[in-house]
Amino acid sequence: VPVAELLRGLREIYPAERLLTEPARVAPYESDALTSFRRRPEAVVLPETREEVVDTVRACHRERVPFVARGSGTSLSGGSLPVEGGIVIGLNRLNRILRLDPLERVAVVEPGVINAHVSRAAAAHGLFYAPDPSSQSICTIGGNIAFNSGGAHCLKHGMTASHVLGLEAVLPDGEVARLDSGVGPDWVGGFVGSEGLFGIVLEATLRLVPVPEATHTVLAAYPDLRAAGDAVAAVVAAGLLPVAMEIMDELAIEAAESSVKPGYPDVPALLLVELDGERACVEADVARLAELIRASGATEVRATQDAAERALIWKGRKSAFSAVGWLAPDYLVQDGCVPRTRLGEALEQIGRLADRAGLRVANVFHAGDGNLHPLILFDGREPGAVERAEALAGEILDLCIALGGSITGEHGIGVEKRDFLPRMFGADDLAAMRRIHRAVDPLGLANRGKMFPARSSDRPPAQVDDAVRALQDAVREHPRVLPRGGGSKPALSTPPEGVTPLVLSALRGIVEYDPEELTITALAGTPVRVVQEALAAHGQHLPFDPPLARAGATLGGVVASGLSGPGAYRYGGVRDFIIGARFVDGTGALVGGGGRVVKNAAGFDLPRLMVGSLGRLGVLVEVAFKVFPAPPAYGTLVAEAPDLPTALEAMRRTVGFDVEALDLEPPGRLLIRLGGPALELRLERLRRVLGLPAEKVLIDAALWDDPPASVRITTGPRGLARLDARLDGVPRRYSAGATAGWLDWPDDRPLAELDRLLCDTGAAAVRLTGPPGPVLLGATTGGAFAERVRRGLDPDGRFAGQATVREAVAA
Amino acid sequence: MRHAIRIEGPQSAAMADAIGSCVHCGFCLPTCPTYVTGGEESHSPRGRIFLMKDVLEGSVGLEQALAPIDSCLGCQACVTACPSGVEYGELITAFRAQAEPRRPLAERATRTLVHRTLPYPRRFRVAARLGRLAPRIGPLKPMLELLPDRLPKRAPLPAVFPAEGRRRARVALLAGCAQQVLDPDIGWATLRVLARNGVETVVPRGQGCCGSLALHGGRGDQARRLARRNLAAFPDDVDAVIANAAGCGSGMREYGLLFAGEPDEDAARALAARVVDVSAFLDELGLVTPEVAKPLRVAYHDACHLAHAQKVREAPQRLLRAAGHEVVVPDEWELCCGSAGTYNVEQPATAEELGRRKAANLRATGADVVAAGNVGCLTQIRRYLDVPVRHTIQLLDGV
Repeated sequence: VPVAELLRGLREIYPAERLLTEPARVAPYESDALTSFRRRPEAVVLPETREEVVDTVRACHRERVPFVARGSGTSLSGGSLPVEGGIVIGLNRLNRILRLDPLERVAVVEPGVINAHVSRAAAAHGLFYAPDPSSQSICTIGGNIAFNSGGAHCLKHGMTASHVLGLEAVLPDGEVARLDSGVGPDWVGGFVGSEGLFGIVLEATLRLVPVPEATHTVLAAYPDLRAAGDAVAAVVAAGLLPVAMEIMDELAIEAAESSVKPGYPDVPALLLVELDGERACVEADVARLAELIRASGATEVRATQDAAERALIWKGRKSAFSAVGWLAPDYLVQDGCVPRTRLGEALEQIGRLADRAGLRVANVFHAGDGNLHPLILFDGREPGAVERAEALAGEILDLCIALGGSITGEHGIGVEKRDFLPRMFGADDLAAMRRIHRAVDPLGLANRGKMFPARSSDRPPAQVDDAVRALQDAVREHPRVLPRGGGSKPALSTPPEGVTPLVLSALRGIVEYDPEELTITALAGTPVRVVQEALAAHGQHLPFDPPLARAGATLGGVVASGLSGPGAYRYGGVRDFIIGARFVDGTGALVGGGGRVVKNAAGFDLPRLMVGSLGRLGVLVEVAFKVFPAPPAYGTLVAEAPDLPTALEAMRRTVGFDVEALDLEPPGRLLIRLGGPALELRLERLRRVLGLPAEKVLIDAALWDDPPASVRITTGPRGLARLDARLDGVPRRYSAGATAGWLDWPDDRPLAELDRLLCDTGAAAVRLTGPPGPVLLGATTGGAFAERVRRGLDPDGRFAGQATVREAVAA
Repeated sequence: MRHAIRIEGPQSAAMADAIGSCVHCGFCLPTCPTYVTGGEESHSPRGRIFLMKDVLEGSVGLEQALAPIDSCLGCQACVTACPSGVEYGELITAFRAQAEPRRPLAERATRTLVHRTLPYPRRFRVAARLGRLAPRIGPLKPMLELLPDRLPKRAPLPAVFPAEGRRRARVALLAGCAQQVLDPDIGWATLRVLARNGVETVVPRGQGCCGSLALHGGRGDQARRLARRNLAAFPDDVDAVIANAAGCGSGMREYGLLFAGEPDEDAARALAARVVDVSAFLDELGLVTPEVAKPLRVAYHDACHLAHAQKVREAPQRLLRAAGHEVVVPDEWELCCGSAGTYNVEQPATAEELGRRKAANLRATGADVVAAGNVGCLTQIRRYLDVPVRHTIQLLDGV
């Protein structure tokens, strides 16, 4: 496993306290300030020197493990979301200001230096660092550079890109590059805003500017947003260049007043204008500004009196995002840009879109730059609210594009907006960006999965092709092979003596997902969790609950083992959802079957043959599934029957309910899961119909975790009582209406005993854990037909790895 | 942040509320003492909220989360910094209470020893004497190291201390437990300053430790036992119940939550509502005493449980200025000094790092004296600073 190899290497670089792998120390790195995305990294390292950063990147490159650089984790676009199967490089401890030169007006800093600390250090020389994102008290320069951060004072000063003069960075393969602005293309500018895809900044030379002699801040109240927006245009048209112009609407004002209490007037729209510079110039501009604001229809005007009052006014503005937490349980921060002249129009349309969606939107934004920050308020506990909020966010971004703007002013694309990138750029534009990306990072290791749309594979296609070719070669070269995915079912994937493992970890990523088509195609080595997360983001799911997802099961493993979870009860299992597959057969040929449409009757149904084939027919490369919309919520009735026959009898009475899943826990516990609306009511009705003592559980996820099991059996409700009677003392749970079961068969009891027991009752089983060896138990089907199909696909018997217990005994 | 925590009772409702209102923006990070010194996400307010959520939801085991939860000083600087109004203090107090019974036995024994000694003046004096006779070893070593070389003589406070001149108010004083052992003059200075400003003070008999050490250490039952004595002891015919130790004042102001859902809840809420720090009370009342004879340059240290937990920042500074002193505020005023209740006993290494850092910031102000409103801070800062350190009330007393 590449990560294990990598960890071995990292232990040589880091002492234990700076190489975090324990869940409690790693879990807090699962997300940044965009908490709707969470992913647990395999490890977090905390380097203290640039050499450690470089060595880490080199180790990752050597083991092909993706990495994400992280500062303080304040990204609002999920820019520092960890990547599945990768590590996080936390740069907070590289926080030294290496040089501060008041003559050159530069500061040379490490990437973990906090934005505000640069200004604090420069203050002694009458200088400061101008870019001031709202999170400046904690966000780091490295993150600012990766996302070309802006702030409230960009109107005059520009964004981060304008304030970075030189960079030293480690590229994704571990090579170090120095970039200076000078002769030739602006390499520095090209690196800034690359969202971590080009590598990690080791050192940055920042431009410092003089602290202005005088500052003048005015608050002006307006009857509506449009009037405030028009005032901004008027100020700019008059030739004034304020250092900042901000607008807040009444919801944003309410939020700020709930938290920081800056004393804003209670009005529909508030404009904040700040002038700075030499005292004489500011004084002249103050008079002109006052006149312009009077003429713009302001209902109230107030100038701040001192630095303390100004600081409070700004604190209110800069806390507004987080303060919206006071107004609603959940919210989405959007970040779009429109031409300044179309601000008023954009705001009115956002209002209309919000009304239509039935959602409240708070507006707080950098009006001087046309940079909108609509905050969409919702309550995630309401069914469908998340989807409505996301749909509205999408409409607002489309609006920004239509008005000639951008889908992000300063938060970046990250993971949040990558599906929107193709709406802004044409196919050729994107292809050129991808070519550059591939040239800089052929393996796609640095901050994988950010910026570019998720629909295509997260891996560069060239690499997928290489991996497939390598797989074909391996099948042709070795006499006996056994594929291995996430290793969640070790009995099935641990090669016995003389068998070569085929590790599929390079074949991961979603190839195509079109929510409107209700289909998804992914490489076989893709962890089920990755697919589930991608689907969940669009309110969809694989209804058969692929088991062992948390243990790292891959899609290919799910298909090859043919295992389904509790949800198979309602809509069927893995065999009912697979619609296409590509695999390498025993001759090394790449074979495709099925397709990406849900109805397909052409040719043999090769995809279904692969279900439960346990690696004996081919090595899966890619699989396609149909998917379903997921119910917004679930609830479970836990009923207690005195014994198994009574519980099985009670099962019959659930006819008429849309039961999503039904499990039995001997002696007589029934777990019945419903999904959809009015759960409380429906569970109560079910409880009455069952006539058993029962408890309703509305947050039920924990009830449906995979039970610990060494063996998974296939059975049926009819013979169950007979079988179960002979399993006394074995931890077990029956699933999907008692058609399947999970047994924790003890290691010290002979498998032959279980085999006999299963044969007697007409049941079959597959081993999940334990040493390599025979994996099939009990009754088998297929006979001569199975043998002939196998010969057709694997004439040389390369996939002969998996045998039944009886075959093993016979041998 | 969305969560799937099962809500059972008022404590878990408070926890779920706090977790639900966190938006993970990270504005708390620069004010968190353990994050500032260690730079690791799990040792930050945001990280701990994440972990507590995971534990309550069942995806991370409690045992694994204890180290980062225990490293929290409970200073609540994050509450001051939080734009989203997360009630972090309520969250961690309730969480610790839930965690306490599931701790390993040996660890619980040490904590029990500390919690059975510090809040009881007589036991603390005995422990202190024994501690100086015996070598300073064992679990109590860090606690005993807090002690000055010579313990001041006992000086019990009187039952009533009359106002001088026209009586402007009548208050009841919480005498404090460890404070009476470590620095009994603070209580006397409080009585004198209040009296000179026309306030009659009663010191109710039967009162005891406020319970906040126990409450913040996750020992709800002990806290309630201690608090019940105070519910009985404090009269309701006074204008205010005065605390002169920030930790005690904030602990008593939490009585409402401590007794949530219990029969004593109403009485607890009523007493909590009357508790006020001596500085806030005097500021509200207005000083009538003349300026001190010898004005000083005073570095004002914000005790966390005054500034962050009780939101009292300006009042003490205004009083010191009114008394004629010059007041300066050190860099990183919001950062804890490392005292934090029993923290310097339980996590001595971090406490020492914070103590040194605080001392350096205070020294850099060039002040003649440091003022603070909490005996724990005074004891901690004195260990690392060569400038005199006094309770705010002592500087108003003209010492």
